[in-house]
Amino acid sequence: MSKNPFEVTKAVDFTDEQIAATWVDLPGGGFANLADPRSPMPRFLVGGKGGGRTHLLRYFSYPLQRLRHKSNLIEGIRRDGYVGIYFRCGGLNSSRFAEKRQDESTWAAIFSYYTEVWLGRLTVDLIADLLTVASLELGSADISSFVKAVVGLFDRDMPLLSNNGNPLLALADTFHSIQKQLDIAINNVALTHHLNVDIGASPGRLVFGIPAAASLHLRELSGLVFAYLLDEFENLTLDQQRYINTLIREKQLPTTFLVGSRLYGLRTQETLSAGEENRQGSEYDLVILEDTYRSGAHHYGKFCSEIVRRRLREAGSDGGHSASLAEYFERPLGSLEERACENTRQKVPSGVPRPWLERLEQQLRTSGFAGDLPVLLARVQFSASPLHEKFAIFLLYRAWADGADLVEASTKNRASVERLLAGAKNVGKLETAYKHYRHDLYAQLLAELKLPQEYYGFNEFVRMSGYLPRNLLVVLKQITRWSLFLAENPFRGEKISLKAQREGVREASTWFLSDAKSLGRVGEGAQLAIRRLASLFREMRFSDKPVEVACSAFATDRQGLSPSATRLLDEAVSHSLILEVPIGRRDKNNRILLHKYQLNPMLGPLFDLSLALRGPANLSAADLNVIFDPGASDSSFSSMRRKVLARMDAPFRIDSTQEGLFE
Amino acid sequence: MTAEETYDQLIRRLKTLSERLWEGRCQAPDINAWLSNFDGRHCGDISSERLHALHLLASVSYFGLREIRVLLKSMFRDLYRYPIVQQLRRELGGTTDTDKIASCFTEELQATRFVGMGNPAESGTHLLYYFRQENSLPRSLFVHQHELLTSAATDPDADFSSSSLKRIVFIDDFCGSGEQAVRYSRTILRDLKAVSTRRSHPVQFCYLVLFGTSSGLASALHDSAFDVVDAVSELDTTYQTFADDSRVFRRPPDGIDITTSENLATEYGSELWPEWPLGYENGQLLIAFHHNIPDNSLPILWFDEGGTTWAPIFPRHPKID
Repeated sequence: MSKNPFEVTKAVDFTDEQIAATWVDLPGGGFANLADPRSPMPRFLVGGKGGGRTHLLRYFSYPLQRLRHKSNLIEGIRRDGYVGIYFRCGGLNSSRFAEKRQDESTWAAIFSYYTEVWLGRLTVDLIADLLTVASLELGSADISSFVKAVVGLFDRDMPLLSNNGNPLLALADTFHSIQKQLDIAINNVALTHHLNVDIGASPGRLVFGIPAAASLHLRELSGLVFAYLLDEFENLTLDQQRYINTLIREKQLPTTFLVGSRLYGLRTQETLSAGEENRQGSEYDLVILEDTYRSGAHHYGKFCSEIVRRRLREAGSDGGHSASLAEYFERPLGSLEERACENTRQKVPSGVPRPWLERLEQQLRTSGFAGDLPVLLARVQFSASPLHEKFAIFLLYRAWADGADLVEASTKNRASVERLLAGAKNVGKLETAYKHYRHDLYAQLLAELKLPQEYYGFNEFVRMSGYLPRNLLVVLKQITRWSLFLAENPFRGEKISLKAQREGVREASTWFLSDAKSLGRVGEGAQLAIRRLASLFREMRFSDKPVEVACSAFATDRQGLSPSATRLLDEAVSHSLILEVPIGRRDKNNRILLHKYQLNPMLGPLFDLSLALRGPANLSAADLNVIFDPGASDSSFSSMRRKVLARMDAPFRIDSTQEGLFE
Repeated sequence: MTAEETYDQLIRRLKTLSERLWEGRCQAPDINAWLSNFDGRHCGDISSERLHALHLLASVSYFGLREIRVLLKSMFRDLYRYPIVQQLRRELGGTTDTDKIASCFTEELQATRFVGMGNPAESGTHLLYYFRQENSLPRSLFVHQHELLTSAATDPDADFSSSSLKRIVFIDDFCGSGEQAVRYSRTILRDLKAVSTRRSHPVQFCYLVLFGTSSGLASALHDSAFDVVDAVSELDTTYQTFADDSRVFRRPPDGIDITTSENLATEYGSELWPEWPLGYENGQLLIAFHHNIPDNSLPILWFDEGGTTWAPIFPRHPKID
């Protein structure tokens, strides 16, 4: 089987070489503008899963600097102005530092010392490697001074292990040995219930002292910033985060921090410094990657294209066949109107009524319009263009919902639709309405003909990613898998079929929702809420008279939301199941700024929704409570759904159980 | 669920199987080529025939090389090593002395020869290579059948090549009807047993397979001269595709039923192999291996004989006698 260029989607699974090979900088200023490892201001990089934090932090790390500056390492690093010390908090296995008959303060002390030693070891290893690879001709006196200064950072005598007279390697060995002893003590406490640990250094002494000593005694390193690149911060417990926050607060030059975390992973900004809290803008800066991508959406598109091109080049797939990535993907033939016509012709045998006309007839007959039936049906029929026919029916439903005279309205609308069909200009509001609704009406037509929805094209997949690049890679991975299964030759001159695109998108969408299950109870609650919200959006989109175009968002001022619904909504946002659109919208009536939330477009195909972000659905706080409160029963949801849809489905009778305006 | 939706669902299942378990076998064009065999001539409706065929295909149990290797490990450990260790412990008074047990087991192993069932070009022999690799066994324990004796079995002076020989283990991938074991009893095994009696040299004869049907294993045990017959995985009647308790039709997808499926397999199977339309000895199996597919599986899956236009999905490499 041919190799899939998108098989690996997580940066953590990449080698250093692969990180370098697949690295793409953000257009319009680059990532260094967002997260400069030389900046003395510590920075948190937060975002959803797959935003690119690990890739970014690893790219800044020393092993990657080494790869980039092969010809002259020290010169390259001096040009960079920093060395990056990468550290995955997940590697600490933070649960080791808890319970086992030890109190919290004991574990807090052990954790802080262990972290000091680990970061110290990484820094000393880095310096030893740098000096060796760069073959710096440093005087032995300088190295001895550095080693002596580091040893002096410990609160007690720290005899160095011998290493053939090389004091720097001896120092590195000593750090390894201390860490090993700590590991043994911590790992055995579950059995012995006794922590035989001698804490050898005060908090911060090694973390800040080693870079300071290097800067002072090793002249080639003076002036360099030592950037601690802490990834997966969310894996630390509350107390452990307090310790890191304390380091950030009490940071000393030439040290700085770049911390990567999931949105929900920042548990506290408290420190151990007399209970002081770190404040954004004062002790740290915070960057939400998705927001940055979203604010420069055109850059995001270019960024995604470059990521994909780089992958294709690495896999040897991009033979320069396509000037644009869109060229790799098959597009359906013809306009929306022509496709509607062709699909109808194929699925509805001649002489058989079209399903939407049959449905309308049934609704009119059972709602007291039997007498007008022949006229009304004649007014909405456009056999040459099923999409215009759908539009004429939509207009009839709109008139029906407004309580208008249907015969009169349908006669007037028919004239307008005829002009629209003839390509006349200045058809007025109807022309705009048709432009807005034609995609939703086409989606309805496909559903009524029992055909799958259409999701195709590179730009659509970028939109589907919801500003998380990994989502795009997952979509392309699944599409490529399908393309290979269909024995196509993807990205090698042959276009990827519509079937492969459709199936791949569906599979990626399914994966995205099931991936949320891994979040435990929160995930289960969020799954239920997302299923409710998405199925409601689907029914609204496929209703007789959809109110909003491409329904996939809602707006709320959050007033009236129950605490548990609020919590779950926030959790869903934290886990990127729902995206908060940074600039919300103002309420039409009272001009209050509303929060606007969009269902993550990755979920769109699973529920036959549009990937576009248009106007938000009108859902009350009570409706949202039913959707997001895990305690709300299925029957409450069904009843709410019926009430909402009663406004959109013929005969447009408002449910008698609906609350009055002032109730 | 409509027939089209069931069809799509089965194709998705096959794609996953092909990708994850079937080593990339059965890509969409292979499936389409195979489905084109079913032209509606037996069940009256092409779509229905193809849908039922697709369900049968999606129910195939395929064992790739990775799985075969693990099964061969299990064969050595569970069917060979453990019984011997249990016997040794009994003989040593229930000892738990692992060194002693290990040393005695090594002696037993050295007194064993592993032989492939069938001729050197058949799957039994083919598996020996992986069996030896997976279990880190010395090459000296593997011999050709003709190397077991010092000379031809008909020679009155013939003896076992190894004077310390205690056990000969015949290995094969599959025991369908048990017929091969019975046939061996009348030929090779009979000769070896004769030498054993003549030389007063007791030897245990074992027949170990990766998979065996319950009836085939029972037949091999009762009707053959093997002292030990065992399988890593025994296939009971639920593996028979059209049995009353078939696992293939426990919860069939919408639009699929056992009667149509059986008609389909029988009618097309009759055209391919009139004697055994549902597989050798009416095997009715849906099982395939990395290296071959047993003829006890449905012929519509594997039939690849000259003179027909049938496009098999798992072409069988036929035995040439």
